[in-house]
Order: sequence, then C-alpha cells, then structure tokens
Amino acid sequence: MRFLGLETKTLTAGLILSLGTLAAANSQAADTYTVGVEASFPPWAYVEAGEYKGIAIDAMKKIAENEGLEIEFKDLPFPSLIPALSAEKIDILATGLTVTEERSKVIDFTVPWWETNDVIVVPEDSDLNVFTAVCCGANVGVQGGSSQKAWMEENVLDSDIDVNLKSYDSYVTAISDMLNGRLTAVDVDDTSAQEYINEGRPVKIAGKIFIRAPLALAVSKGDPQGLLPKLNQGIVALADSGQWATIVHDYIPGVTVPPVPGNMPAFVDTYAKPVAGLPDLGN
Amino acid sequence: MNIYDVILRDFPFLLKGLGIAVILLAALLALGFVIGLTICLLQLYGPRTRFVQWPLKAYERVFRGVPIIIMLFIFYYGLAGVFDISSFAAAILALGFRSGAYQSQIFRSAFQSVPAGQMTAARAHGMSLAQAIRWILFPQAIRHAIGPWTNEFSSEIKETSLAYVIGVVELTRQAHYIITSTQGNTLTVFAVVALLYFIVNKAGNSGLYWLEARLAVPGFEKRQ
Amino acid sequence: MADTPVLRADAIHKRYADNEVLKGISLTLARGETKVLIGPSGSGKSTFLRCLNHLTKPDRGTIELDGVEISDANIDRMRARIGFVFQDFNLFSHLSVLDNVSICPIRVKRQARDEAIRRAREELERVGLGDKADAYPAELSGGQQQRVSIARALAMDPTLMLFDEPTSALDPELTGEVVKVMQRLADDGMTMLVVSHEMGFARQAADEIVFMEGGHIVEQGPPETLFSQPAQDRTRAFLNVIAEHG
Repeated sequence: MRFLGLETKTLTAGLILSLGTLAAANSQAADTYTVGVEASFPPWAYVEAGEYKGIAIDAMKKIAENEGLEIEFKDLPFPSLIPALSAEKIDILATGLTVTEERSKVIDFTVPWWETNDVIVVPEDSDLNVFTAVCCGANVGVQGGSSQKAWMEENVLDSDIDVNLKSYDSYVTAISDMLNGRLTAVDVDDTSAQEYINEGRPVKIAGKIFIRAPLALAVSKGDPQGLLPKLNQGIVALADSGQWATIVHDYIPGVTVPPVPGNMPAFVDTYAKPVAGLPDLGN
Repeated sequence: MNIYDVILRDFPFLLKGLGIAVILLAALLALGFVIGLTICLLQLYGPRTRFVQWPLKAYERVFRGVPIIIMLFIFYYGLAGVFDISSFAAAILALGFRSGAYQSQIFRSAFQSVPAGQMTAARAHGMSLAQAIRWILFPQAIRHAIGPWTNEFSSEIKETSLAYVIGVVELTRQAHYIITSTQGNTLTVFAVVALLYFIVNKAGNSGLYWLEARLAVPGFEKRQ
Repeated sequence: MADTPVLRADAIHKRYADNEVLKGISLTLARGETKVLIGPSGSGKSTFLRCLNHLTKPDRGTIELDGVEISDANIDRMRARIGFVFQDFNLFSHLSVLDNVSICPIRVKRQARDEAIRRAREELERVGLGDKADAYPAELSGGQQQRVSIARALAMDPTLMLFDEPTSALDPELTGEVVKVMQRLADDGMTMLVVSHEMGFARQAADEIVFMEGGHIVEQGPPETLFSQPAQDRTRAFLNVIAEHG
C-alpha cells in the first residue's frame, strides 16, 4: 500500500499547482493593459521564433511608448477576441480588425488606421475571374468570424448565388485547402493576399471587391478604462510622425499607405463628433 | 529558410507548448481524480437522500453533455464577472470538472466490481466505513480502475489542444504560429506535433501499465 | 463480573418484508462456553449470527457484550471485540496473508506495526500457516484461507468468536483442518458461537447445541442429550436428515 502514499503526494502537488495558477491570475500589475491579438494573422500579428511580430504589434508598442502606457500582449483566436473584450479579459484589441456596424454595437472602435478591400484569391494556374470564381457551385473559403465572411453571406448567399461558403480558423488554412483542391477560391483582405503572394506562393488575385473597409483598434464598450482618447491621439501622432509608414513598409514593402484617419462610417457611434481625444474630427 | 529549419529553430517553443499541455493535463487529471473519487464515494456510500444524489447526477449529466468548447468559454468569460481567472486556470477547471464526471464513472464501476464481502469483512472487524473504503476497497478499486483510467488519460491529452480557444498557448497553438508565420506547411508542422503528442501518450500509457504491473498481486493480475 | 455472560441476546426480532426470519431469539454465552447453532436452511441461524454484531440490524431486541449493550454509537468498538468467520472467508484479496492478519489491529486498534506483525505471525503459527505469511489469498486452498480468516479474527483479541458455517464452502477433505483449529480454540477456552453442521465438532467441542427452526429456538441442551434423546419431534426429524446426508 506504499503506492497510496505516493498517490496522495502527487495529488497534493497537483492541487497546489492548480491553486498557484489561480492565484497567478491576479498577480499582474493593475495598470498594465492587456492587448488582445490574434497571433496567427500575418502581417498584422503573428509569432515568429517565439516573439510577437506584425504591423499591429509594432504599431501598438510604439503608441504605448509614445502615450506612456504599460502593455502586454495576449493571444486569442479570432472568434474569441470580441467576447474577450466584452468580458474585459483584454483591454485593447489590436489585430487587423475590420470596423463593422455589428461589432460597433458591442465594442468601441478607435479611429481607423488602415483601409482594406477584399480580393478573391485563386490558384496560380486558374483562369477564373472574380465573377466566375464566386458562382456556379464554387466552394469559397473565408476566415470564420471575419468581415469577408459577413460580406459573402450578405452579398452572395443572400442573393441566391450558388456558392458553398466554408469557414476556416484562418485564411492561411483556407488557402492551403484551396491548393489541395478542396476550394475554388478564397475571399481575403488585399493586404493579407499581397503578403502571401510576396512570399512566392502559387496563388494569384482573380479580382478585387472595393469595400473600403476601415481597420481600427478597439476597446470594451463604453471605454471603461478611458483608453480611447490616448489611442486615437496615438494613432494620428504615429501616422503624422512617419513611424506608421515605416512600420507598414517593414512588413509589406511598397504598399500604398492609406491616409490616417481613414474612412469613418457613420454607423460607428465613436466616430460621431466629438471623437474622443480628437475634437476636430468626426462626421 | 525552409520549413525544416523553421521547425528546428522553433522547436524550443514547440517543447514549451508541449510542457504547457502536459502541465494542463496533469492538473486537469488531478482535479478530475479528486472530484471523480468524491462523487463516486458519495454516490455509493453517501446519504441516499435526493438532496445529495440528485445534484451529483446533474453534475455528471451537465459536464458529460455540454461540449467542452462551451465549457471553456463559460469558465473563462462567464466567470470573468465573478473573479479574474487566467486562461490556464479556466482551462484546468473546465477540463478538470468534466474529467471529474468521467472519472466518477470509472471509479464507480471499479468500486462496484469489488465483491461485497470485502466491505462486510472490513466492517465486521471494527473498521469504520471510511477505514474500510480507505484500506480495503480503494486499493482494490484502484487496480480495477487503472485500465479505463489509461483511456481517460489518452483522450484528455487530445482535449488539451482545445484550450487555445481561450488563449492557452499550448502545443497546437505554437504549431499554428509556425504555420501562419510561414504561411503554409500545415502538414509538416502538424506531423511533428502529432509525433510529440504520440510520445507523451506513449510515455503516459507505459507509466500506467508499469503501475498496474507493480500493483498486481496474485488474484489481481493484469486483465486482458 | 464473573456472573456477567459474555454474550446476552434478548428477544431478537428480524423481518424482511412479509417474512419474519427471527421471532424473538434469546441466547446467552458464559465465558469459555461454546455453543453450536443447528437447523434447516432458512431457519434464521445465519441471520441471528449477523444480528449479533449488527452486520444485519435487528428490528427489536437487545444484545449485550460483557454487560454493555451494542448500539449504533459503539458498534465499531464492539465489533472489534467480536471475531467473525465467514462461510466464504472474505479475506482481503489485495493483501498478503500477513497483512490480512495485521491490518485490523493496526488500523482499528492502532497497534504498533512491529507489534501487530509479530502477533500476526504468532496467530498464523497457531493455525498452522506460519510458512504462508507472504502468500496472497488467491494462492491458498479454501481450507488455508479459512484458517487465515480465523487468525485474522484472533489477532484482534476477541472476547467472542462467531463462526458462520465456516466449513460449508469447503471440499470435504479440507474441512478437517479448519475443524481442528476450531476444536483447539474451544479447548483453549475461547467463547464461541458456531453455526455449523459439523456434527463431529458439535459433539466434541460444544457445551450446548441450539436447534433453530422457523425463526424460533426449538430446543437446546448438551450434545449428548440433544443428539441421543431430543425432546422435540422436529429436532429428531432434522437430526435424521443430517445423519443421512452426513
């Protein structure tokens, strides 16, 4: 029965461990803000050799530095980011997050720092165009929870166009699946697509969908931490100083940097005058 | 840089992810062990009243019936209003509570397969109920339980990979980083990951078989 | 103290649904006395035996051990003083013979381990199994298992020993070794109540034979009287059946 003693010890160790973890949850400094990112979303945010990288990561670090904020990053899968912000598990959401009306109801957006259009990506050797790739029983992949998915549902599926929409946990997986022949095309933002093609992958852009979708940072609804003014000022200052363009060009050489702040749709309440931290702006 | 160089360079991070997965596994199994054993003992030897038995039954049903992703969300986001819980702690609780429901069944049938005469003999010689369970029934039941428990071990390893949905950066998530930062190579990376999971599973199973063999006494030989 | 019986059971009743198994059984055992309970199956002998240490809880009636009434509050302490030998042995199957005999003294009586082991070896010698200390129950014959279970009970220093058909699960050639051990115990002055149809044992070791039928004690008396001149017809009929089959 010696093993029973052993069993008890293992058990105790396990419990202490669990309790230790629970306690650790509360140990982070009170004025360090947690920045939620989807770290499998290049070029905006990803992990390489164990380090966070990407446009959103570098820009967020710079903004924090300029505005005197203490931040730490936390990686969460895309569908989990907005719930995390609502539950105040994270304080700031910084990824290639598209501003949509639906999202603006549950989180508060900063001013846009980027603008994307969507593209339809097909295999290199395909002769489909943007119309033939999205019709006639085609299998089209999108990233689950993304604005592309919402756009496809609204404009393609609801118009009774014969397309099978397939959701993936990331557009990278979707493109892999396309290259394996399971998808006809993938709907993705132009920035990501360009990056992917720059890597020398055997895909090409079949056509562009001009949606002028703004990307922005976000905070919890009602901005309980009062972060919105600092972030708005930080974004504009970053762009004005030229640091923004440098960061962007580090990741996507040669790309045209849209003006900051970009297109501010009227349906976003935080874009109504006066915009937090930027009283001269707004609709 | 080709993908093999990247995997080699990032191997320490894969190992770190594996470490997180193994710690999560150990913690959830330990929590499940305590909960499972408690439920089983209350069901078999606790008060027969409905106030005790019904909640136990309900617990089992709920934790076995609700998909684990939903449980992870409930524990991570749902508890956020009550107290600040880390991703890792939420994963231990969600997975551990569910494992407790499964383990209670394993232990229940293990205790039930101990002949009734063992309890009678223990009580007849003056052992209290608790002593009889501790010294006579538990050592026998645990021997019956090791086999099914090995299955539970194997299936929970796989479940740890789901903890990434609430932000636990375990092995699968680390693999995802490599895949997305190199934009592809899904198959190669996941083959490496599968191998790592396989090694842990194999090591765990071997350990449990070793324990089973060590505890084997005549009359309790390893059953096929 | 000298006058206090070791066991005094008074008007024990037990009913299962519509079946009244014990209809008021009273029995006393003086120190050093051995009584053998006989009777057809279903007569309530085993139930009565199990009622004595509350393995089966009697509906009514009182049981006293050395003048102290057995109750829910003191049941574990009382059981520790009553050795019980089961028909199917019920040795702890995960423990070696030595651990089987020493575990109850260690866990129940909080005896020091060394002392309990030393004592366990003595008891195993006493039942002739000193060389089997390290064996496991599954490796022993039925007769050996039953002798270990007697040693297990004896290691607790019981005031009273109860035997519930100790030989009826054994092949005939193995009963002898168990009966011999019981015989010697009785000779050594142990107070024993035995449910058994071993007539040889009953004749030699019993101070009194108690014949039960239908939940009643029909007749009791010293073996020489009861076996040769039973007062009741039912006793005689039963003894004839036993004689034919024995």
